[in-house]
Amino acid sequence: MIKRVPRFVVAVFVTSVLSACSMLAPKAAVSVQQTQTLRDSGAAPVKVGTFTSQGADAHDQSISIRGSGMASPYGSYAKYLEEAIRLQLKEAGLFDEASKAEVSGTLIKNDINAAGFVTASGDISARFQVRRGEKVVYDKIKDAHVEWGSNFLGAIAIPRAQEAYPGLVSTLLGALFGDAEFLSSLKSAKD
Amino acid sequence: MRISSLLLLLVLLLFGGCAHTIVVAPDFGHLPTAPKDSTRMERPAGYVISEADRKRVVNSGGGGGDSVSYTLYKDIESGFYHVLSNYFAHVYAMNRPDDAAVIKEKNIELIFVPIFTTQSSSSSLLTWPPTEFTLKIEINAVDLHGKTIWQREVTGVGKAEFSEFKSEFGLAAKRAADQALQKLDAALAQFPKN
Repeated sequence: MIKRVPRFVVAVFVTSVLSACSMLAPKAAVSVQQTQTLRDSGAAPVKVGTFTSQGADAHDQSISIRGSGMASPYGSYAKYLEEAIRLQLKEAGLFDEASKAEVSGTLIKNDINAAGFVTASGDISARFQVRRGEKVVYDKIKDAHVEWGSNFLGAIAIPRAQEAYPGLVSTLLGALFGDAEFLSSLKSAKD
Repeated sequence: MRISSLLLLLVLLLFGGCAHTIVVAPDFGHLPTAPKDSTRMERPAGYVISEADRKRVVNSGGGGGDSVSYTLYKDIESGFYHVLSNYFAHVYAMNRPDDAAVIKEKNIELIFVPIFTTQSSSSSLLTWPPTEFTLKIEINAVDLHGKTIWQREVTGVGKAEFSEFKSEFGLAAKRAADQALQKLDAALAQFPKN
């Protein structure tokens, strides 16, 4: 009897229910609130150095969302964080490749848990450093946790988790830009 | 009932009328950026997007009988701010056009009031992401007395095929946002300097 089932019906069912394919995270987002916070801070422009990852919890190459791998559109998630902070600093007019001050970082934790049928969450953690020459003027670890509505169906839950990733990174940057010590380190980096 | 009918019914029951979340934000790499030597207008400008609009979820059509949902104003705001900032050195968000506290604190001289509207559809019966997305931006600039001093309307259309959006479900929307904001940027180049 199974042989009588039209192939296209099976194909529709399988592709609809199972979504175990690879995908890319959306590109980094910009926050207007963070742009205004940075513009109003009086901070001096900085350049963005290299961001790296540390440990397996960083999931630097791929995040698993219900069995589907989500890769970074920038090649790695450390690079994603680097691009996100560069984009946000550019929007605020605080990016200068020639600056003697440099912000860099290490991605420590980076994961999405979309197993729940009602709520999904994302967690990210990174160590940020600001240097002027050899001197480290800021060195702190920042974390972010974001939750959103999920669904029993992977076809709904997976895209929601995918679309939530830029917001997770933006929330982490919000924690960094909201730190008076970080903003102060950029001011002290003025030449 | 045949197994094929049962499977089809199951698929329809599971997925019929689903609203899938997408993001309608532009790709900043595709937006014009003011050159460093450009002279931006010094007049402080406000723009009005209320908190209610930021939180409002908008639905439009997708494929296979499904729809897509997104926080339209929240998604577009950063690109809109970027484009305004290409022409105005000081741009501030306002919750309403008569927000006297912000007007006074930031010395705002003119206020942009945008209205964003969308349409979307899909030519596919089997996949939900839109294959075509349209974003219209209507924008009025008013003075502090509420008098319109400039207005424009621009529309961006984005298209995406399955082979492209399978890794980025909101791709048609992103392309529409890119195009609409590029047109808005071009329109703002004609904004009166005085």
